[in-house]
Formats: sequence, structure tokens, C-alpha cells
Amino acid sequence: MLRFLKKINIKKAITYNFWLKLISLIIAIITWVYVSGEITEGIRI
Amino acid sequence: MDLVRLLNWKVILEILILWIVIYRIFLFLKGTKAVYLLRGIIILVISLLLFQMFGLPVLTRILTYLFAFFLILIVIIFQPELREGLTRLGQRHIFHIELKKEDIEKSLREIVSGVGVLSRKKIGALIAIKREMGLKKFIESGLIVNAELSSELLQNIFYPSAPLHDGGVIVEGTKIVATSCLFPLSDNPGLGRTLGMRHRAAVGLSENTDALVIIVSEENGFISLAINGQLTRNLTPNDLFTILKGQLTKP
Repeated sequence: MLRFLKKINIKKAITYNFWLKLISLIIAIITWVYVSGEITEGIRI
Repeated sequence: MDLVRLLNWKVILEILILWIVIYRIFLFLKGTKAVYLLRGIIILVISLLLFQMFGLPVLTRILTYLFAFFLILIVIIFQPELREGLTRLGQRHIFHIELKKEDIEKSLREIVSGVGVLSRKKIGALIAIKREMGLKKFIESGLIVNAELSSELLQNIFYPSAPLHDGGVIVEGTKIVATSCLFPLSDNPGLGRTLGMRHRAAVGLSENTDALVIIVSEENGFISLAINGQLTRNLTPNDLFTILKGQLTKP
């Protein structure tokens, strides 16, 4: 397990396509918040 | 306190899955003509928000109707891209057997050495390196060789008067699987007009598959590399080795 973790270049994994990852994360959070809000409203009705 | 209660493991898992899916979609769209469509959609969404903000009901309603129409249009226009996307999804090997690092480096040294010589002699070349996705369709369009990969063999294949010098070579692991293969041409409008058929074929293959495609220009001997529809030009053999190694041993 440790050997596997050592093989992963964490810095490269984060910096590779950084902006695309960041935008995707923001959109994912917005989508989740919006949909969960819709679901909660639906349940209340 | 409310935020802490909200952030349980299920929420994190849901956001994580959403993140990965959205990231993969963006990665797939990057470098394709679908990017222009994405820009168009963003402009429409912003317009819709502005119309709503300024209380313009007629324009808001027209744009809402247009959205429904666009959805059908997108499916028709981007049918090949959607099909390709689903194919990619299905072709990803979950239990992908990786080559040993030494084998990868050995193959890369042979390729880079061969490409270096071809570049110096200004001999055109087109080499595709298979990654996870199968290239059977393209292998079948050429001549199956199944030979041990070597710098000399690559030089021999692309020698201008050699019978197999036309088309591309497909490399899989430590083998040259096929030569004289036909690759699909890219119709990306972002590519310069100065690019020849060899470069367009390389970008086309990299748009359709996850293969790494090396091009040596016969005009100036420049080495280029196409990955996921993106072309990096004027590389030195050392740059090429570093990028290829990084791509093939990526976490």
C-alpha cells in the first residue's frame, strides 16, 4: 500500500489540468446544492 | 454547526462522483469542436439569467423554448461525438495490465532514438502508441507486422522509397503491431492551415482514441506529439521522451 502511495506523484496529480479540475469541482458543488435543494423542497410539499 | 451536520460521508461521496463525471466530460470535450457549443450554451444561460434579472418575460420565454429545441439539435449534430464518448466509456479497462516500467522505458528509448534520426534526415513519420483503448479498427486498415520494436526498424519503415512508408505505425508495448495504417483526419477548425495530412491524421487519431501520436514533419524535420486532440509542436527528442514517459507512467 505504501509502495503504491509512493508511486503516485501527488503534486502532479493536483497540478495536471488544475483549472479544469477546479471548475469541475465548483460546478459539482453548485449542482449538488441546487439538486439537493430541489429534493428537500419536494419532500416538504 | 449546520455545515458540519451537512457534510456527512454520503454528501462527500455524491459530490466526489459528480466531480469525477463532470471532469471526465470536460476532458473529453477539450480540444473538440464541442467546446464551441459549450461556449454557446454558456452565452445562452447568461442571457437567460440577464433577461430574468431585468424582468423581460417575452425574451425569457423565447429563450426557454430555444433551449428545448437546442437539446434535440445537440443530439443530432453531435451524434458522432456522443457515440465516441460512450464507446470510450465502455472501452476503459478496469483491470488494465500495465507494462513494467523498464519495458516502457526501453520502448520509449527505441522510439525516441528512431524519431531523432528521422527528424535529422527530414523523413516524415507517423507513430501511434497504444494506451488503454483498443486500436483494432486502425490496425486492420494497415499491414500487421508484430515485430520487436527497434529504432532501426522504425527508420526502415519510414524510409521514403520503402513500400510501407505511407500511413502510420502502431506500437503496442514492446511491439510494432502494424504499419501503413490509416488514421482518421481531424476536422478541428483550430488547427492551422499549414498543417499537412500527417499532422491532421495524428490529431484525428488522438481525438478518437487515447493513443499518443508522434509526427515527424518531412518539410522541416520537426517532431510533434498529439494527445487527446492537442498538438504540441517542435519538440526535441529529450522533450518527447519526458512527455511520453510522463504520459505512460501517469498515476
